Amino acid sequence: MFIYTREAHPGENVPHHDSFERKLACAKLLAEEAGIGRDILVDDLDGTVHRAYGLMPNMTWVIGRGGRVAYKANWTSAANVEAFLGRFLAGRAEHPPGTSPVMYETQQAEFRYTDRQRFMQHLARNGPRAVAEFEKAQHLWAGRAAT
Amino acid sequence: MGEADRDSTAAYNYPRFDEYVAAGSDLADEDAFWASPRVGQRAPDFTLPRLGDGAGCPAAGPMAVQAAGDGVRLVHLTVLLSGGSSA
Repeated sequence: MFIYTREAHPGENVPHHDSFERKLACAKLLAEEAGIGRDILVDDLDGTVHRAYGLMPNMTWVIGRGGRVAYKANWTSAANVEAFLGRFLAGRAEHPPGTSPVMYETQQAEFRYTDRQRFMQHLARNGPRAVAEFEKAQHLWAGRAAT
Repeated sequence: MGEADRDSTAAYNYPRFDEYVAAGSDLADEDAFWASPRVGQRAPDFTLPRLGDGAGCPAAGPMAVQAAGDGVRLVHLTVLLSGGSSA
């Protein structure tokens, strides 16, 4: 399922959420533009669910049988999620005779590859202010990296 | 921006991204992710309205897994801009 949270880069065309009605309208825009076929649930204006799951802008969580967290990623990679689900389900279902599956945890670094042109097109769609504010943020990030 | 301000609804729905970053709120968000439930811990349960018909649906946690009926539940939390990278 898909949970709609907040607008990361508000601009003149797609502003920040100042009412639940506006948030619903932005969620509808997402559904139309991204062609999402899964159910989209809309978080409340306060971001209650988003806060409980960690406030990052594009996370994926997998919740296993019994309602326990099986996977969490602070960025979504469809390929990574698919690979994990394959390993997780197979590992739970299949094991050598005379053994039983015992879970352990890992924490791994992964790489993602940003499509800068596509990202900037999305920013421009939100409005010139979204582009300008992102450029200012890049300078701030560069300043942090230099210290 | 103080911690109390950062927790407000207005701060959560920030109007300016550069000011959000200047206040260090993006770093606080990363901290919130690492403080969120770990693998193996129980996922928080919530019910949220479904886009389209407004029906209340379990968002995550045991209720949602039960509703899914397939043993696992994939939950993708996203913002508008990054919606195209859906898993």
